[in-house]
Amino acid sequence: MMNRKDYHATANAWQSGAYLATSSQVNVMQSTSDAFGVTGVQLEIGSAATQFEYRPYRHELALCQRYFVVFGASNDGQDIIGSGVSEDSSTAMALVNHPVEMRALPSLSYSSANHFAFRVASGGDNTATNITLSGISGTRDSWLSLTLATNPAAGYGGIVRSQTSGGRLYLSAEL
Amino acid sequence: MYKLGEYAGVVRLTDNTHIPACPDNRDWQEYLEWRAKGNEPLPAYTPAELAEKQKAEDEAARERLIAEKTRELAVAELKREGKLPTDYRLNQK
Repeated sequence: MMNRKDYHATANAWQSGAYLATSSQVNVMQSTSDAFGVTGVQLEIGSAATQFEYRPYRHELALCQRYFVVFGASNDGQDIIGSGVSEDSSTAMALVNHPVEMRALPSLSYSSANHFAFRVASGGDNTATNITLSGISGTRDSWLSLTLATNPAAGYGGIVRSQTSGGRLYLSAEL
Repeated sequence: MYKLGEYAGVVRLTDNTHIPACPDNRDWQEYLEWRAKGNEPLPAYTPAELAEKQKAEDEAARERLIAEKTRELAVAELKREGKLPTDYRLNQK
């Protein structure tokens, strides 16, 4: 794959010293932007190695989602995050189901509140100005409280959706 | 730096992360360590934010009152014109 220039020598001639290749040797790590990947490696406890464990993508994804979930990436700018109901004072409450049970009550962060909207059938999109966690969130779902720039009036059912490309909502329960 | 959450937990102000009061949550553990050093979180709202919130609530209340009054007047007028039964209940939607 590669060989240091110090170990280059002329081909088909005896040399005195340690040489491994000629200057024609391809160097796959010649540039600082060159990289190589290693796969099929697993860390194990103890001194006895076992067979490599192949996990299906869906299994690996679920294991990751126990610790961290991203909403908004599956249908950029049009993702449905959850559903809820509008309240008084320009707020809406919405339930977001976690794909799998999370390790702990997750922390909430997002790209920007106005990347999300509470959409009701009669009033269209009501853009959020703030999104917070409600005190009744759990490991299987999160209750979000959205402050809205426009008020659809109390009692309307609706969905929370991303309305901008790059709108992302993150739930983190990392160790 | 943190501020109290509106409903529970705290908000980390450096990245606007909303952190629940969960002993297993790493962010909450970091917050407790920060508190143990004698730090205090800011209130959930600054005076300016409180005023803004109150203003929004007042505006929403006014809009509801206008909608309700408009409906009352419309029902009364339609009854007078005979376009609604006299026993029509106002809260009927």
